[in-house]
Amino acid sequence: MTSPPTTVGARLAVLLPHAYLGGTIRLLQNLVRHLAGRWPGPLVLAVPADHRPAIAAELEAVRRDAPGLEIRGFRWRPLEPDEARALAVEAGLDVGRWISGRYQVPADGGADFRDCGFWLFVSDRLEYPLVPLRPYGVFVTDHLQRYVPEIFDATAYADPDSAPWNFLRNVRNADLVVATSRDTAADAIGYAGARGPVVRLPTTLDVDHFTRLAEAADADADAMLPAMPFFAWVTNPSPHKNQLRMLRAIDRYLRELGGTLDIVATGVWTDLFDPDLPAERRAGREPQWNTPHVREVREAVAALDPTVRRRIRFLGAVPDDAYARVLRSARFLAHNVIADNGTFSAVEAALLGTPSVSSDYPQMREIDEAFGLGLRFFDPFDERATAEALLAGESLPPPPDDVGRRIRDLSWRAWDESLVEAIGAVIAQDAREGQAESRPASRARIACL
Amino acid sequence: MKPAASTAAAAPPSTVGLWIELDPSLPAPACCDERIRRARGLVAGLDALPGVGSILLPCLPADVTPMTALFTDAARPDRLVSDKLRVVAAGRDPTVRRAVIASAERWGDSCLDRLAGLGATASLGSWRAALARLAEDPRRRAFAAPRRIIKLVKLWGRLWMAEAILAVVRLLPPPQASAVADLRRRGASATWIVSPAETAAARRLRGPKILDLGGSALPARARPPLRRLAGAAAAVVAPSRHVADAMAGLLGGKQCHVIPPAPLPVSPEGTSEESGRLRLADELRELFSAGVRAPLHRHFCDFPFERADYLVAVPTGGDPGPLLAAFATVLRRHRRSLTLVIDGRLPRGEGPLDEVERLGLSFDVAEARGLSEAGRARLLRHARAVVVDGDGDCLPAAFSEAVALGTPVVMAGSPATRETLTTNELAAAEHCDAASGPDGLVRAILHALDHRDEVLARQRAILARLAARTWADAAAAMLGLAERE
Repeated sequence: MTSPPTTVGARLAVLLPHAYLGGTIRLLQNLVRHLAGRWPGPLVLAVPADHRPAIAAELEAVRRDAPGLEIRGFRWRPLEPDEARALAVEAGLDVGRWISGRYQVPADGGADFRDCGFWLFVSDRLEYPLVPLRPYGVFVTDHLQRYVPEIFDATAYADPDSAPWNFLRNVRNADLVVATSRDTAADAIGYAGARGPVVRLPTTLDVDHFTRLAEAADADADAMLPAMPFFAWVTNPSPHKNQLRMLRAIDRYLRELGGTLDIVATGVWTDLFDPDLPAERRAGREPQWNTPHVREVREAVAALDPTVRRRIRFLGAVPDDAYARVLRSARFLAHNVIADNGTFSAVEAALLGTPSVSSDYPQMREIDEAFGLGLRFFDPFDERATAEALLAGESLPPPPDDVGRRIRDLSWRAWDESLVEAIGAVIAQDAREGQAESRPASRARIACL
Repeated sequence: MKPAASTAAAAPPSTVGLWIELDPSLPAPACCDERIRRARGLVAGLDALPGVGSILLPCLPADVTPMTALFTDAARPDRLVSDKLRVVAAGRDPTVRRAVIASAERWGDSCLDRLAGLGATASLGSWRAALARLAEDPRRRAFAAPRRIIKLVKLWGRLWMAEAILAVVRLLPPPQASAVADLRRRGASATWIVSPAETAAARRLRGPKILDLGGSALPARARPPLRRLAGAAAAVVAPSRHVADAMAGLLGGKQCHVIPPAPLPVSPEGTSEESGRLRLADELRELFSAGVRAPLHRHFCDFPFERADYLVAVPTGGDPGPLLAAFATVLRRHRRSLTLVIDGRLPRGEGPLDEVERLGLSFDVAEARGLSEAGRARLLRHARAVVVDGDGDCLPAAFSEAVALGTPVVMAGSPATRETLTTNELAAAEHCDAASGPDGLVRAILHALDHRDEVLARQRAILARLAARTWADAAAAMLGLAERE
């Protein structure tokens, strides 16, 4: 068995637990860049082996910025309870109660990351409880299911081996939790029941992405945009995006309040909300097309008054330059969710000179405060208030000029030492406990796994 | 209705007995049972009456130790709350019966837990979804569907076997009957203050009996024996006119006298805030670790309660649905990161726990039955607020306890509460009166959270007024009724 590195300069592994794309990959890149500049020991970036080709360019980019970086592919190795116990005994892991039906460990075909002193997962979405053969940390963006339980099937909450249970179990047993907002940090403790320290990073904003976006907005006009003035509604098919209430609010905005703007909805798969989407444009996306919630939204769109229906355009996902063009051309951006980790779309819009209206929830308040966006907030449960906010959006002043400066001030490049220090403290603590109990690989007792 | 009896009663009887029957499905008496806390108040009151020579508290042999612990004086741990009190063993030992009930319930819970793990419930209608889910499982083995059907049938059969065992045990003579027979054989005679129960065994006790309807909302199973108990009682007393009126139809024409209770005594723990929270968290985790491995317990068996803010809900026997819905709104719409800890447990049956799951609150609602007296006091003291919902029998006992411990209380404004508080108090304590439906309860909770000190100050003033009435007054009034009748 590989002995664990027990010093602060130990090898550190940053793991991407699933085949994520987009924002999570940008977060991963920036996290690795940050750690590469500050962590005193070797750094390993681990991604799902099957996913490696899909993000080859991003991996190459981060390797250029962090020359000493080792990149490994890995697979999750599922474990039956007996196997998990045997592995834990071998590793000197002290577990109070074994309560789960299945476990997992990351496997890279070699030392299986046991040559690392700490594992840092960039998401808490681990399907099964992790057997923590090394101290580990998780990056928690939000506990959305606490506020929008519909994102999981109702039976999942009754099944203690289901994903919602396991996500929380992995946060509970983590030696370190990293959160990006006050409320997510509070939920990590009050909901997931994190027993380890919770470290807050001010923001995971990707400044380079914003710079590219600002430049991209200068590209040629996009033929997809309507001729009439419009506002942009950035959304996606998840139920927490509150589409049904938003549609009713739009109806009220146009028909009762005399709203003058058309609506352009954009975001992944939002074109599937269009009841008139030609069959060839949904080819290969039948499962998403038939998702109950997407179908429900589509039916709600179809039921709108034709005069309203005609004024909404569903673009779906668009390239960055088209997205930038949409934001720059819009009178304002509308962000409507019941809860989530806050969106940087409003910051993107502000950078392009477009104001925003947003549903009122703590993470978005925090972003508004940090970037000085001057958002107009509304209650996402109140359709009338939403419609009134949309009307008010027509006359919102442009956002302040210094958003660009604030973005630079709050980018990952401005992160302090707190994450590195917290990881170092966990490794040092682990080493102390190992020496005290004369068990080289011993860990702090885990109450339940 | 007669007015409340005057406290100027004749000389009290020498021996007074308190008769409390515990729910046979529960393993031991617990301080979250309001009848027991009320009995503590009555013991304190009887102790102060010079004519009362002794106070009998009979209980089944297995309950003597836990019951003694519940009546131990916090200030003098080696003594009971009254030197006149005697906790006496009577009747057959219920250990075997309880073990059978507990095993059958655990067996049933375990079957439900395993059915849930397969995506099914006790309802046969859920099997189709469970099999559909299996079809989507990429790890399924050959013949997975027939195997799964066999497993479901086995679990379903075991579940009904457990239910059948419980039904048979319920048909056996209740252990309380043997306790009464034992007391009669020993010639124990007293003036008995009887709490409503699921049996009418108490009517055969020797001596005059006072049926005391206070303490908690009556469980449905306690309603049928009520008429027979009332028929055998010298007097029936209720804590409020509201309860007296509500129960009139169940008492067979027996007159019901109103005797308001006094605030319940509590023992501040005397430890620091931090160590108190840590001790509470340890006790809660121990409680959940020892419980059935049901989902709720599995989530909380290692939960860091010392780091989390929480509300305490005091069940009053009614439908907890509105309270759960109000909590969900406070949590989600008003974004208060709180756990809801139930002081005791939600009523069993299909409804409440299903409601917890339906609202997606499985990780936010914890049932804490079985805390020690000190643990329960810590639970109330460290809560952000205590919520009592439902049509309680009078001003809830939890009001005086929580306010005395420094925690504001939110109450749905039941008729009994309005009867207990003066008009001025109701007006000054608008946060108490949340009779305006679920939205009213939500507003009241938010108000108590956001204006904690102000609410607490007003509630302390109310408590000070209520504290002018003592348990000695209540006990003397009850005994006076027995003498007169």
